[in-house]
Amino acid sequence: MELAREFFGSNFPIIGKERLDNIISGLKNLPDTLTQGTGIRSNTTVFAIKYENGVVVAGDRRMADGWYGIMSDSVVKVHQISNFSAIACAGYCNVISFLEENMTSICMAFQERYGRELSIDGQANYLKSLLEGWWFTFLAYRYWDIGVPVLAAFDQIPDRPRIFSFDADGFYFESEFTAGTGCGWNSVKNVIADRRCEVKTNDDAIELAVRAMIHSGISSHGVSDVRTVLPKVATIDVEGFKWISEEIIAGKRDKLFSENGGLSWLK
Amino acid sequence: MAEVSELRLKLSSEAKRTLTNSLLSDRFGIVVAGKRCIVAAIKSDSLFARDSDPNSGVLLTVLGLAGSETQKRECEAELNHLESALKSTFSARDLNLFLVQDFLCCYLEQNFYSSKSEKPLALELILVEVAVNELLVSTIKFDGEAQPFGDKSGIRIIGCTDPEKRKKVQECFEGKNLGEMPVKELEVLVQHITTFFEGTFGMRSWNLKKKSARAPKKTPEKIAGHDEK
Repeated sequence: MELAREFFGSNFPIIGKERLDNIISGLKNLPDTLTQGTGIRSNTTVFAIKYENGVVVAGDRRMADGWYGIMSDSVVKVHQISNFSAIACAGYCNVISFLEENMTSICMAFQERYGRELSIDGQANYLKSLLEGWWFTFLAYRYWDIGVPVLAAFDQIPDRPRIFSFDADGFYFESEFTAGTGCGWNSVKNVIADRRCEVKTNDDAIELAVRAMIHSGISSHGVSDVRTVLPKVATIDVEGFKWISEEIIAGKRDKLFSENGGLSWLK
Repeated sequence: MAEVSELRLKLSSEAKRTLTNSLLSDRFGIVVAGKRCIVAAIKSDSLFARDSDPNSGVLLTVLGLAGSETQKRECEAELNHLESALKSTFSARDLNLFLVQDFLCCYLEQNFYSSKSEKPLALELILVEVAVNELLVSTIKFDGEAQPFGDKSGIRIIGCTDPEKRKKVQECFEGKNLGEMPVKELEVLVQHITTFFEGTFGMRSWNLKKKSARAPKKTPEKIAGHDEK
């Protein structure tokens, strides 16, 4: 500790033995799914990309069993929560289900009672309050282990696409162009950022999403490989939420693999 | 004073209704719908008007008719609490007419008209919401009964239990096509009606922006993905 204070300066916090013991005993009392890493979780790559008139949300299909096992390669990680919004999460499935069910029911209940869709800002704020209940999970060693969502939406007032990125303990901010989470996100965020200027239309955004998913699948064991399992891609625009058909996604994948150079070596 | 309170506690709902009606007999409020506009006038000693933030894209106004200054302030304070609670859970953008109407109906019924409340209140409210391509109006009676404003005549008269004055007001609209009247003409007409009554009047008008082309809303798809999981 003294060494740390020497290195980082006097601002480095001193953690007394008692405090340290408390933290350790707290860790011991965490649910088994968090401490032993044997819970069912989606290691995942999920992300959202904006284009001029909407937003594309994509998610891989893998659900892991423990550290290295694969429980399923057909899970859908993008979830519509209202006419104009969707969330995509990475992490423990119990937390993800909790978030999805709560978000869907609150959006439906609000619309049924008051005849209006819950505003996108309202949805983001409510999602934040749901995550705050899981604050203790930040003690886990990787933040996407917990159930970290990305909220993508098309805001009708004024007409514009919006993406919100969240932290495990509820902090959130609005992203300018893209946001994502999961173990494969770090491998692909630069791929997406690199082509930001090329994304104008819905078609461009879908192609970039498929490209990023290919990269993600070859760089992380926790993510399904696009060569064998097609990712789920949805778009949200002025007309609302709609899934992109598998034919279109497969067409994009094949196009990327058949290009000269680029990803053709993966074919 | 305590005796008065006790007496009021014993008032039946029917007696409260009679007393409230007599308190309202001196009051008058009118809401008229014209060509993509609404004009409202209220005879009140102190006009309680509350506008939400227009930057949110929705302008919500609450107008109070009759009631004492204290009662109006209490109501306004409760509305502020509602807005604050809503903001911390959702967003200030979610404060809409139906939510406020729901809240105010309960507020009026619980605080002033239930058998437990001390005294009846003559407070009636007019709620107007102007959104991008919508204009909604609702009136809330003293006992918490809400009525959306959308009758074919385009006129709602509030308070004023005098049948002769009501008839006189109705006559002003005879032979007029309200649906084609612009806001300026409607204001002149409503101004004229207010001269039938003594006292101070407050008047407000709302214009509806031109409709923008927008795709119809879809019904939510049934939690796509859950079944597939």
